[in-house]
Amino acid sequence: MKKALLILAVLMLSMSVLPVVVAQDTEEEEAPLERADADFVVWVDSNYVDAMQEIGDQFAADFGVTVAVQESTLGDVDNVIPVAAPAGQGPDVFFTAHDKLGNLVSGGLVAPIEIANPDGFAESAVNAFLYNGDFYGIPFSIENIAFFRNVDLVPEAPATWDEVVAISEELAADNGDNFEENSYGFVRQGGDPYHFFPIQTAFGGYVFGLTEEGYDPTDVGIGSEGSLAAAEFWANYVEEGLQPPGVDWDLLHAMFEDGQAAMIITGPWALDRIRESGVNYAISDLPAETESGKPFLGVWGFVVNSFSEQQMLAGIFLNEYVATDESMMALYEANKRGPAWNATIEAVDDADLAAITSAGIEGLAMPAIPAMAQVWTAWTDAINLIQEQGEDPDATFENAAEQIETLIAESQEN
Amino acid sequence: MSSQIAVAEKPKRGETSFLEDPRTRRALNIAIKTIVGVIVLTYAVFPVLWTISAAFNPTSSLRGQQLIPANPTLENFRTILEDEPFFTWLWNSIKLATIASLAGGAITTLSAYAFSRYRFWGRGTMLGGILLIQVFPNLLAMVALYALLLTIGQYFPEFGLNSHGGLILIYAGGALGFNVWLMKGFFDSIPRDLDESAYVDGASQTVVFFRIILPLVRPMIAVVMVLSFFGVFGDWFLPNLMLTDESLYPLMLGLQTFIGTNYAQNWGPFAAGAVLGAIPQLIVYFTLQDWIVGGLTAGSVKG
Amino acid sequence: MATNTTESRQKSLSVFNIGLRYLILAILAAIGSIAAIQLFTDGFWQLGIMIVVITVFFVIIFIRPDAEPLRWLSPGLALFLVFVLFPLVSTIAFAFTNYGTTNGLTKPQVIRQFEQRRYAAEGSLSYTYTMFQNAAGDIALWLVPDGEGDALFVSEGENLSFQSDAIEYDDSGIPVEIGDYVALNRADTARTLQQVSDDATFGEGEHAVQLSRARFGVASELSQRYTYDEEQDALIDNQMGATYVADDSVGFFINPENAEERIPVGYQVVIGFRNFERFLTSPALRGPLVSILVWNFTFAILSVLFAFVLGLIVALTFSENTWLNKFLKLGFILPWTIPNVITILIWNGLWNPLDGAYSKLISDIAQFFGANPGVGWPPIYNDATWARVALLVTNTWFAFPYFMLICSGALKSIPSDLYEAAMIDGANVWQRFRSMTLPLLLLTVGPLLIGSFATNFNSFQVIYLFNKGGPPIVGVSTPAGHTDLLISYVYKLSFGGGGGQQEFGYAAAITIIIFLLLAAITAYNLRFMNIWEETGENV
Repeated sequence: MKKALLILAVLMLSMSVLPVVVAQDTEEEEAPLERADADFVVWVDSNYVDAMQEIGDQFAADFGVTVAVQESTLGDVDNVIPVAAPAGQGPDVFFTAHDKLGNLVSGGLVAPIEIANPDGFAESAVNAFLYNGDFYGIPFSIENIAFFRNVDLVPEAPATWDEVVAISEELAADNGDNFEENSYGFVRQGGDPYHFFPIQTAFGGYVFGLTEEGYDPTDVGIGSEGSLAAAEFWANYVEEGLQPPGVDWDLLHAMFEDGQAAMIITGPWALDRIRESGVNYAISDLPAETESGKPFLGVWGFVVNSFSEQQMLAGIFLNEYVATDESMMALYEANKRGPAWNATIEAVDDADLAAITSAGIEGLAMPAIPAMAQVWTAWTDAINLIQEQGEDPDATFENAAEQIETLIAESQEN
Repeated sequence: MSSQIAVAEKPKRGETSFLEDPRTRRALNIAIKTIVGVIVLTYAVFPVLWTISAAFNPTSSLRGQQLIPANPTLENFRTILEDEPFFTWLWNSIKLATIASLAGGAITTLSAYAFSRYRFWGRGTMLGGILLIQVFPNLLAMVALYALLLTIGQYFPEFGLNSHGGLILIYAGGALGFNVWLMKGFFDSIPRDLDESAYVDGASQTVVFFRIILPLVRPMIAVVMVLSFFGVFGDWFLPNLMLTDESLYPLMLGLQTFIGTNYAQNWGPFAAGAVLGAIPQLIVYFTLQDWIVGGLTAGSVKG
Repeated sequence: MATNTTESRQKSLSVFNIGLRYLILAILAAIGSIAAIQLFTDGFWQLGIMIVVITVFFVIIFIRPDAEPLRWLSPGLALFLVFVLFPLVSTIAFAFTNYGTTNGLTKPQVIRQFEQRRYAAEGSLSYTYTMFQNAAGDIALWLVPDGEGDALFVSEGENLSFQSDAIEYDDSGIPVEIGDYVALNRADTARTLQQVSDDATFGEGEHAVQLSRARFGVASELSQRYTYDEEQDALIDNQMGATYVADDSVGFFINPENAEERIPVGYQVVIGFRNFERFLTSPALRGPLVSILVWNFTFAILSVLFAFVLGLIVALTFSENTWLNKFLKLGFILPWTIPNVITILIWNGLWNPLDGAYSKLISDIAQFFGANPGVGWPPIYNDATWARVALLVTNTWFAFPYFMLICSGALKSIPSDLYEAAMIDGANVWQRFRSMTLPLLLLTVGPLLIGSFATNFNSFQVIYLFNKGGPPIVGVSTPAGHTDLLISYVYKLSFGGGGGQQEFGYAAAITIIIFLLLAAITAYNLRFMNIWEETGENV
């Protein structure tokens, strides 16, 4: 037994130290690349892998390099890139949403790039990748939410929230205690500030004040007059019984598809399922009130890893192979989201997408500043408190603003 | 607590009540079993049935569905089986989980044997330390583990990043944990006289350990192996950080790609893959179950 | 007891065996030393120390006869030291640094990165280049300025001379060859481009150029934007004329005249106990911490209790190895085989107050008793009590198969002759369970209950997927919910609820504080465990 044990122990120990010993033989070899075994590596969302690989193949053929496109998720931008990139294991080029840019830039993970043809892109898309005066990415799609209605129930798109209330009151007039038999006008899911923002902006509310240099983290707008007005409006709406409690994203869409909810706010990602359901829908601009209703814009793009040894090739790849009519169209075809490339915007004839894009014309880029991270939880809680728990709207939003200011002050102390 | 052992009071003779009649007992026994069985089975299985339903659901949503979907479809299974390297992922999962649970089982058994049968300097500290370290919230250790595999990979890529070897080493390293306590408790319950009398009979330590002790702790070895198999099979966080090649992905990580995007989560194929992935786990459990609950007859524990 | 027999067995070791042992040990020590030396030379000194410790440890335990028990532990221990303890010590080390999103790099990494930055100074020229290569593989560029000006011929770091009238030109006015350099066509240029390093500078003096990082075939006169000045320990911005001095107490390059202005990318530095100070003075501790802690303990204790009791009931009830029981248990183990990412959402659906099956059931029961709860009742997600109950029911579902499995195995450790004895004594089922089964079972399962308590105490994923800690508490100074645990509350505060900056150093400090709390509880409970243990051995 002892012998067996000893041998086993040696084996186990060898497992942990052998690597080092074997290195004696392979010393001259280069450290192995843990990223894909290719000269040039791209990380992108599963939707785009095939399209990017095709673009990459063309680049590979022209430049005599091997290109590997690997599947990744947005979560990897938060969790994997910060560890992998400085260790030399990151991709050369990866995709990201523009609101991660603040973290990526301050973490030193992305390199500024030159955009050879900035006029080829929608202005809002290029500007979303402008941070501290430098450009960091080649945008390829823009996402925003819009106002969806059931045309059978609401033939004309309401222009203001007042009109929305009138229609909703009419539709919900005969509601009783049985949820399944009830019908509703405009319905939204609980919490989710992203989908509440258009209501807040319609009443003149904001999140961070916008100056010439971008969003100002010292000017928190959650407690501003406009935001309070929106909160009051929404609290009234809930109190009237027009908004059922406990609606989540999934149920909301099911209600819309069944005709139980006549109006909702959602984005292009829901188009497939709405179309499939066969509901007679139309898409319009977000209702206004004292101001127009503005959604957040989320821009997706490719950025260059600052630790890449191939930054010149990366720049050429992005500018001359990705930012082309053909490639941008292929990316659009791979996942139908609002394009960021002007020629593709013109070439696409999808009425729904056009309507969504139109709803986003006045949209505001989602703040990429680090302070934004302190906003989400408090803001979500505030909306939940008035929508689900019937709390006082003014006090709730003012308290949320104080919470956010406390958290920002706290995080900047560091 | 200890004083309560074997102090059960004797009931007085002649007071045999209705409850002690063997036939009522058996009826009661069956009734209790049926009630417990039905309630717990419903509790356990109902949400799983909804997951299965989601796998056959044509929409990518998890809501608005019926327990039996209105338009059941095999589309989600087709997606997962044809468009994705499902069997590669499944094989990776099985491979990782099998090796990790074998290594884990071996390490746990050897360590627990030492803790149970020997008294040595540092024993209490080590036992306590093992438990205390498990209590440490290990979320942050990920960064350190990444750096560790990176270093190892510089010399020996088979055990570095983007390798199954590295993952297995990490999983095996975690084997010296709670399970050692579990196993040690089990060893403790095996009377020491058993080994001692074997030694007196002239048996070597090898014989005693493999022939006498091991068969007796088989139930717990099986438990430990199921625990590590399930643990590794269900893990996606560690592989996500360490693996970049899709061909190396275990199943759970492969499935994550369907739900990695906000608001566009594709639950149908995820559910289909998850349901299919449950099958090998159930097979492992079913196979080892005989070891866990059966196999031992009452007499075999006696020296 | 054990020592007597150990000695007697010791004698049976032959000289050959001892010889073999020393040989293997020598090899082992050699392997370890080589590995450690290699690691030290390559700069991985932390891991090197680890290997030295392990090697010494192994040599000792295989030489000293009284270290025999440790030999059984050695395989597990070696892996444990490298893959559990080592990362854990690193985590503890993080707590004393500012490591995080903005301070993730080392100082040399930041300097190197900024030294690579280039800018086009005013009046600098841009060129179209044609690439040339000679037989030796050296690369040269023929530069034609975009505006007015003469063409240049340059190689890396120097201007090459040429005689313009002695060269043969093609149709577009580009030389075909100069000296032994031959012009490459566009396709060959592209393939050669990879050989040119990103920072390569061609030519010398004011007209030195670099290849464009945006367009193929273009080269520009670029200047280095930042230079690191070792004397001042500062980065100098050549374009804006600013100086940023390294401040190693915070890990940033800062403009000495205006502390607000700094290089956005920070670097890692050791900051002592500042993370701990920050946590102990943070608004988190002025906020709803007490109510969160109370709930955290309640949640962890009840989760373990429910799961253990249910698991035990199932294990006891269906302990016989019949086919029916086997299949039943297969059903019970199901919750564990499907990833909780999806099953929590399924549960959310079942609990939904509008259309969830479980909510409907509760609502129907209420109606049966004459109540008229109305739409959206029960308020699973809006009412603290409902939310907590639903969460516990859900969490028990995840955990009870684990205890069923463990109890099934552990029950096998109870010798059946004990039961027989008790039966003869006439103890009834409950008495037997309370006085024999449970104490003996706790002997084996006790430590796992503590472990499970700790796991549930930090059960972040379930809480977050279930309802993000909601429903929110009204009017608190920092956002928190009624089902928030300490860990999810801290996550909301320090990581901005995800997607935000990840301050690892700060998080590690908090982790350590939570650990100390849990460790104290565990250690306290362990003392009871030891009492049980002695009892167990007497059985």
